[in-house]
Amino acid sequence: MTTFSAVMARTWRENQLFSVLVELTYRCNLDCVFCYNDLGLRGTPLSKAQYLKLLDDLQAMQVMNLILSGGEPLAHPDFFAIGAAARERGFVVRIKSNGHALSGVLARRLRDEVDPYIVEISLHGARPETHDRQTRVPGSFERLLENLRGLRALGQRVKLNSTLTGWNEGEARAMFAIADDLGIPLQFDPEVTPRDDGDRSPLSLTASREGIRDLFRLEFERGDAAEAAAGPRPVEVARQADDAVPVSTSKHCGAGSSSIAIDPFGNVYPCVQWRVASGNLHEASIQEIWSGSAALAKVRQQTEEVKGKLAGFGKDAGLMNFCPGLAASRSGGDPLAVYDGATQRAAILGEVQAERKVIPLRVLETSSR
Amino acid sequence: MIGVDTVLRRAKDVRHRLLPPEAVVIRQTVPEVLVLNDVAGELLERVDARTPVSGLLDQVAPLYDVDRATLEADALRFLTELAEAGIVEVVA
Amino acid sequence: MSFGERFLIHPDLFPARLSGESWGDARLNLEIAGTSHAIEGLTDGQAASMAERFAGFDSGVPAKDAVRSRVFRMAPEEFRAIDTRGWNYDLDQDAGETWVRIAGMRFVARLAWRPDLEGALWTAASDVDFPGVLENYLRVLAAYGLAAAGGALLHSAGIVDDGEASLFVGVSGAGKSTFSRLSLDEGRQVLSDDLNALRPTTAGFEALAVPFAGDIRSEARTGARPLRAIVRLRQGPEHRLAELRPAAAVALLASCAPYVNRDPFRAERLMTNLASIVAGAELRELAFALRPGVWSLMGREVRA
Repeated sequence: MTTFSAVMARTWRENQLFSVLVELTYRCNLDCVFCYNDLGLRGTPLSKAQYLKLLDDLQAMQVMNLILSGGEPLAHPDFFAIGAAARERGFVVRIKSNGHALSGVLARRLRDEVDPYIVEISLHGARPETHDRQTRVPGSFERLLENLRGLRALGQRVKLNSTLTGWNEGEARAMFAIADDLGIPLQFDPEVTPRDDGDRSPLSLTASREGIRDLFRLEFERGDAAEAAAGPRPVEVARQADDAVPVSTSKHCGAGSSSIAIDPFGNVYPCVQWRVASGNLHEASIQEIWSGSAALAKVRQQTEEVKGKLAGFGKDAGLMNFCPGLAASRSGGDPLAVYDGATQRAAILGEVQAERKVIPLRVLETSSR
Repeated sequence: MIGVDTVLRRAKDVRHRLLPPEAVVIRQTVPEVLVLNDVAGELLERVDARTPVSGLLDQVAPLYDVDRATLEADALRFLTELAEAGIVEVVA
Repeated sequence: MSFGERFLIHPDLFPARLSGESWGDARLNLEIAGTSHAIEGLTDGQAASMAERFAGFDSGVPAKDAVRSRVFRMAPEEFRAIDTRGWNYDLDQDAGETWVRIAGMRFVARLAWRPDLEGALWTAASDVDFPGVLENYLRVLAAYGLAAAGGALLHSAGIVDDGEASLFVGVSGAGKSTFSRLSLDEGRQVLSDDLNALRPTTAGFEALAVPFAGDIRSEARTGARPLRAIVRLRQGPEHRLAELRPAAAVALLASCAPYVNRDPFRAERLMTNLASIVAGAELRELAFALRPGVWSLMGREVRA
């Protein structure tokens, strides 16, 4: 019987578009210090009619996952029209939100009209001082906790994401405690990324080596405890296609092969983190871009080259969580340029695994952004 | 018991896509993912809460070089499995 | 009631940064009280209607140092339906060290100093409501811009006499519009009978009209005039002029400096500006009656 992983691997191999991340808007009700959005980007925003056409096209292309992101996607003037249209067209809809406004009527409308598979929400710390320092909106931490409880009460599936930073690295355990108390999974990404306009100032918030090591230790510790308590973890389904695919493929990731990202002005990129201009929906349909973009064709080839290059790192390759998009943004355009964050991650993870005296078979799952 | 006169609908939480030669089905509420063969996928695609199974077979038959009896037997088996998995529900 | 609740269904969606979906690609370049403003993100219709409405203030080309404002779309469903019968329209306002936010009917706005002043307006108003919305926004922007430049936007009647401007200041109902019409009848020009701008120059303060204020429109709407006097205005049985103490003048101006006077982060700056204005102006208190002759009194006394 064919497994889901095998199907995913086939989407990579055959360039079958499966997951599309749509940055609906850069409007946001929080003002996070390390936000990667390029607020200087200009263009004509996609209209509601263009979004509906896009959804029609993606449905015809058999795209399954639709991730509505931002900014704060709920702040887009046509969010509910677009979200409801996505539901009608049978997409598995994920919402990446900051959760700040997800209460009351808005939360109920989201569940009833858009019916997302999951809402992914960012948590920046375990204390108001830490979280609000990042969001620059006083009261956002307390509001978030209240809203998370409300979403759970509504029966909405929620996941918390957090980027480990120098500001919150001492609070990881407490953040997990908050998540556990709420009954919501929390996933950390130890890597702060530059802004999409190339501004590297967010990197100053990068967590310390010790902070990253402590996080890995903590994640192993929690993994052990979870396995001891409940046996194997339930399989999470409908994951974004560029997450880890265990079946062997010739590509490092699905960027440009099974997934793409689209910004509010219709620019198409191979991935939210790999922002190579690949076409614009004001000028061409998504089918035309998907099948005809020279930039995407090149990216597909580069993902194979990345795989080849990383093979030279042996067992460390699997520990690096190497991101070609991040490599390109950090190196000024070279998706094969191995960056410090990746080698450091492999080194730290290797150390932590050595402490545990285990064979490094398991790659911690991280999903940036 | 699903027969050729049965009318089916997809469960509300089902999301599916055809990726020939397979189809991917996700049940949002459970959550779980299933990979179907293409016949099951094409049938599921056509389930509309109105058309009886015989009508679904009429639509799917031209896609496959197989005799009607074999197709019908396979289809009823697949649809029964889908019903047991909560992916389709009997309307009438 | 917390900030924005009067106008917004979801106050927690209030934009925290200056970004969103522009209405269109058109822009409007305005000269408001000595400052260039570039209003971006308009539809062609919005830009054309505003250019017509602000004729004489349209600077045509964008200035390099223009204060930039961007206009974004907002869903009508984000706003509460408000029954405005018998209702006194007052904006919701909130401020921090580097920002100001405003909520009103069918719009919200945000000003930010990064470090230069920038602004954004999110609105559901595309057509007939748009001019009113933009004017509301520009009032706030001008008030803060002037305060940051060492001046002030003041609720007042601005009257030009012999090339100099005097601001007649009073609470609502003090008679600013009536006095303005009397002044027109007596051959004076009116900057505005509602809102006037003061900004510092090397030789004291100058008074300027703003494009979005008052019902009386005269040729004096453009250009700057040296400030002569600050006059507390009230109606009385006869024309009578008296002295006004500086402290009372500052307090009076503070009560008539919209938006900024409610901002705890900028109160000190405003008071400093107002003290400078008062220090260089003649200060008077005028009671006027509804009959001619006030400017023979005013002109003589104020120039003395």
